[in-house]
Amino acid sequence: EKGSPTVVGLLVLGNIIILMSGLALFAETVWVTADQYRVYPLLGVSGKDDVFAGAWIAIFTGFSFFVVASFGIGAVLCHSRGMLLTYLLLMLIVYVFECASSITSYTHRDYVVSNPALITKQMLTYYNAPTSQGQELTRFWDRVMIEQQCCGTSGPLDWVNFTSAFREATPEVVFPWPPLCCRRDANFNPLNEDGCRLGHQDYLFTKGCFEHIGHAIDSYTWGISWFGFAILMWTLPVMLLAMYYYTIL
Amino acid sequence: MGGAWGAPFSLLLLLISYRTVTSLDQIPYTPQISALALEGKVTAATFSLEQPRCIFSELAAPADAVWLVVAFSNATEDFQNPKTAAEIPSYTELSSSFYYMTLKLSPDLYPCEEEDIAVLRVGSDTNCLRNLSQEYCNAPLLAPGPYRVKFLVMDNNGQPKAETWWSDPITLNQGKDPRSIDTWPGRRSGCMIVITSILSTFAGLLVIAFLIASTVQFSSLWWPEDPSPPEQLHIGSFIGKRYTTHHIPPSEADTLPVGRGAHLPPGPCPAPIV
Repeated sequence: EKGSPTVVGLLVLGNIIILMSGLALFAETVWVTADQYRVYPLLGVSGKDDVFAGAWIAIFTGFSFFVVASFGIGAVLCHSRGMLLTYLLLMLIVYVFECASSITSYTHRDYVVSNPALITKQMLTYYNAPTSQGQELTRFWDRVMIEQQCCGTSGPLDWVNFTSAFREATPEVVFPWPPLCCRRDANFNPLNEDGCRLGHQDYLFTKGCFEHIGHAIDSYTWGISWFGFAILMWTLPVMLLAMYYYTIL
Repeated sequence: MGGAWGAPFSLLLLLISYRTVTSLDQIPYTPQISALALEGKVTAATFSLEQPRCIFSELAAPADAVWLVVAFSNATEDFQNPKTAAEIPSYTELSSSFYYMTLKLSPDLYPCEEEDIAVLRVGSDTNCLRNLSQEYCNAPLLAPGPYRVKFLVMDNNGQPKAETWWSDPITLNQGKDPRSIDTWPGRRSGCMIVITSILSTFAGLLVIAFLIASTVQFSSLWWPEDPSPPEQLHIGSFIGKRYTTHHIPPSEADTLPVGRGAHLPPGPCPAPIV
């Protein structure tokens, strides 16, 4: 059998890059599933948690790219038609799965953080609600508001402009917004409770938390969707070249 | 003589004193919502007014009281300044007469000195809800309004002395139902369309290319090619097949060509399969 050395060289090079990228994708999506920002409760309650489903698929496809590309290097160097056919078939399957991961991840990210509406509605409905989902989201919001020094989704006025589960539990004159929105000193006492109730910016966090949440989910999505997209863009010419090589082998 | 002048004179005195009592001093001030950057200026049950500083200094004595009159916008004409302490409408009358008076404070609390956060919050007292018959109760407002307010200075006998103008209508911020929030993301974002369309196209392209490549390759199996002609040796001028027989001496056996096609060097790869 003949085998043009240029094509063989290009295919080996292409597959080396695919296997390295696949390993990087695998490692990066493990980071995503570890959820350092701990935003999973938000997505889980909304039912739009396929950003993480895309991450799980990408763990599988990243490692598969590594394995199949290594096999492909062997197939090309052995000038073997059978191995090359197996390589093409496996690579096609992994390609399709990776496409699915990339598309799903981005679409669900759009549902959740393209505008603050979904998160605002969820916060108003579940914060301080007595259900188990409510408790989970209350823990989430309490943690985010303290760590990021923010209040509400777009600001404390979310609690004034809408009724909420929090409003049912706490009348407005007691506290118009959650007490965790107050600025506190080192001993965790509010600096000025009346100032916080009135809403003076020295005593209340006036920033909204949406920026932080949006940044967290965007980081995950960029790592799954766009990185996967880049790998697939590179894999396409390599696979077309491999198919051409298969026909001339 | 003194007695004859007495009755009309005393009547005149009475008339004069009546007019001075009813002609209130008008203070040229309009109450308004605080101009400070406060998030909770107007909420669903309270609102925060700017404190009326430095306007009562000439007219009010320290023993007087400055009251805040709160009325619905359409009830301001019906409101008459109370002439005695007993006529002061309390919070309970808000639902029946549509006005009430609250926040009885001394004019000393409105000095001329500037202060950082100076607001007057209407509706901030939840404790007096338990005992609504108190003299004045600054309980949270139940209806969204619109309300208009003015300040009224009364002396310690309950006689009104001065008043400000009515404020502009203040409407409270009734919260909307969160179920009314529309969570539809609207248009698909450009990035999502790019990713989906490009990846779908490429995946389809690859599948088609794979089918073509495998068809090209396997079609050669279905349609067998002409078998290549057997090896031919030139022995002198005779062109014919060379047969190997058992009668070939071993020394000549080494010169016979072995097999067809090129050698493959021995290696790790499996035997070639077609």
